[in-house]
Amino acid sequence: MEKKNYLCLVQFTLRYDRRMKHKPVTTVALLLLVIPFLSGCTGQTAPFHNWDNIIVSYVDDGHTADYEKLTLFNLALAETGQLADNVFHYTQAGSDGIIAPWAQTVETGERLSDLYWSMGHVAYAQRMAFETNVLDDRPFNPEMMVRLIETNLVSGAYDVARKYIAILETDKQYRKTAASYLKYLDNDAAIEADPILGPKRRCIPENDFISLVRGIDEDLKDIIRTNPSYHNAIEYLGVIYLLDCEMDKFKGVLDEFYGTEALPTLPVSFAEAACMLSEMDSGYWKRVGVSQNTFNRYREFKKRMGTGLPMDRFKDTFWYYIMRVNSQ
Amino acid sequence: MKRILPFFAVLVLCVGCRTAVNITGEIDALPAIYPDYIDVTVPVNIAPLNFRCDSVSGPTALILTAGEQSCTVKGPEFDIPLDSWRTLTALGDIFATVCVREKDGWKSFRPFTIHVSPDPIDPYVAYRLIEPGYETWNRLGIYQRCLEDFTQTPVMTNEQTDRNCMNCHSFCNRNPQKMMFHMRARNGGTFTWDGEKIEKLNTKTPQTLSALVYPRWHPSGKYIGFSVNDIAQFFHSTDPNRIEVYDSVSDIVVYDVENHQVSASPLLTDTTRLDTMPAWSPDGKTLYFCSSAQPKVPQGYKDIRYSIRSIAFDPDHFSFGDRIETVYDAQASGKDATFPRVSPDGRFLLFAETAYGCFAIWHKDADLRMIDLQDGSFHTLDALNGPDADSYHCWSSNSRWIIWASRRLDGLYSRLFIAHIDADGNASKPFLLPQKDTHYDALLLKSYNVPELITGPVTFDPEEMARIAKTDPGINVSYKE
Repeated sequence: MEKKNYLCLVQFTLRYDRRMKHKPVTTVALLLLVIPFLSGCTGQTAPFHNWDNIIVSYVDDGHTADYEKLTLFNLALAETGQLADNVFHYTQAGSDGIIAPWAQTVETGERLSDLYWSMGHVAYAQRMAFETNVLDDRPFNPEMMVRLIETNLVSGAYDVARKYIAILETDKQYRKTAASYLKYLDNDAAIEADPILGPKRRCIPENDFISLVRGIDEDLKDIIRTNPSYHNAIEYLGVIYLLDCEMDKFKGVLDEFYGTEALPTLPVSFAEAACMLSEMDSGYWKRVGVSQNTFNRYREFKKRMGTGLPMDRFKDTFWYYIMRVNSQ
Repeated sequence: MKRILPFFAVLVLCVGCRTAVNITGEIDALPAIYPDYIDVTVPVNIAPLNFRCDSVSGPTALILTAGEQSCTVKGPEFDIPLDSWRTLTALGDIFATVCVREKDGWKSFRPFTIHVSPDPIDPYVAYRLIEPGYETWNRLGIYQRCLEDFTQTPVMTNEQTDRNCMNCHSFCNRNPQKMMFHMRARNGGTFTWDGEKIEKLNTKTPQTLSALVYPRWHPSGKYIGFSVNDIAQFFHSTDPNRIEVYDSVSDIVVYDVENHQVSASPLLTDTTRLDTMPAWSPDGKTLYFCSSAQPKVPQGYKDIRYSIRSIAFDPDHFSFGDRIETVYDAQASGKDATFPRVSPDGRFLLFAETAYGCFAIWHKDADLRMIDLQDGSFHTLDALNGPDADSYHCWSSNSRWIIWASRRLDGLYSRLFIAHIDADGNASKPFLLPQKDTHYDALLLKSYNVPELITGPVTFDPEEMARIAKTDPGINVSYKE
């Protein structure tokens, strides 16, 4: 329920209480009864995911075989601006934990659509939403219908967006959500000004490419070049390279983007990786703005390696991750 | 208007209902209606052209007049009674007047004409209903719709066959008793039906690139032309065409129905070319097909440009000519032509033209074009092409109607349009396949795929088809050198 509607309801029930000489508890009871009903009827525009809850409730059991679970968790990190800072605070499993393999199920399809949307890869977010909607045995998948509306609005395909809005409106619970998109139809200015749709539209590369044929990394680079202010894309790109221990490719990212709008400063995991790159190019870490503290910590990590001393205090670093990968 | 409905009050007597509309004034504009049926030409046996008028508020009515007969229908969603419609279409052109009741009485919009052609259209169309998608499928099926009313019935759905994929339904001379289609994935095979017997075929041979793919029945019913292809697709990042479907290799073969053999000419299996989408002349002596030089794919996908070519075919000896003719030269036109279809009277070759590529339905620039095979002249068919993809077309038995899939309504979901083509190749304004409920298409999340006109309903037993699909090992097709 929208805040203003809720306040109206409170005002009404308080007035009703005063008139009927009820105690305030009546108001509370009435609200508790009525709110869920009204929320269902009006189609509360609720976010599909509570990213903070996903992070808080995530149980890192040290096993990483569940790529779908890990993909959702890493997505939550990205959507809360923590991916490149905190990704190695948790057990990781290579880039499959960022992009779970497409298992042709509704669950993976939803995750992947969310993921590509988060990356700013509008075409592939739409593709996965479409595939998932087809696979769903319900008349349509409301979440993916919303994604289809969003991606078609962003790409300017207003006629088909209008169709999807009309379809979503047939679901009582989503009627209000659907109606909230009507204002964007044929309205480029509204889309560009929207805090969610606008940045996504600015991610669509001017020059067409064949999605994912060159690899997601090349697609992400095109998205970054197109919209350098969309930081999710570079966080995913760098983290994917780090998770796959592709240090040369990671260095290529820093070489191209460090100091630009896309990467004005290095997030934690990137800075840690830059320390390692300094093995081949002393002083590299300074040139990419890594702090002395981080570099000192890296030196300490190196000193302890192979000594048998406990390394637990480094468990949240890229260095520890790569050591573990190399030992497997 | 003045000839049909005088300005002063007119009491309209109705054929189908008893609503009386007393018109007291005019609105000097055509009504905004959906679908756009203003000045379209329809076959005499078409279902009622139900439409709606969203742009007006207040009570609305539609007055349909033909000859001395009239019918008034309440709006704004005009559901025209079938019997009244039949009475009117039998009398020729129908004049339609949308009226709206305002404070001071009923006002009529400028009337428009629905031209009724005495040329009938085949009474049924078969199509596949499937999402215009990408890679996955779930529920899909081949359906048939009676064009004379609104009845749609399944021919075969994948609910009966473990939700596999089925495609490429094709009929011999629009005969519903002689058809074929493929099932893919589980229970896969090619299925033919001759009105009595169902055959399941395993059509991959060591000599051919793949199992049989895009079909076209020879008019004799003894053969079916097929492509054999390796089909791939990819997804654009930015291009509004969204998806590209292309062949990495393809050839043309002909299947001998009686002997379960396929054969080909070396001219149709040239490894430097992509040959696909066979079609036959009505006399069965010419095989048309699409042919492109083979670029490196996927990078060179925009260099795929199909010409329409032909080769002689001798149905008596199951043999091919030794020369290829070019009917449409992609190099000369700078464009690309696919889905050749010759009218049953042999006069016109209809095809989809686009900038490049194989699957015109994914190309927003795709338009229908036509070549007059008598004099080689080119018809752009501007009257029937829309702003989005127009593709996959089928001729009626009498060569006077075409039906095709168009994405003009929303840019993605194919809907069926019908247009009249006169004896000189002139096209009339097309009309959307009418639906009982005018909101039906907007809420349908599937595309109409491969519309094929047929002279009656398909009547095979889907349960029997499913049983054969699941249990019959199938006949192995062999290659005839």
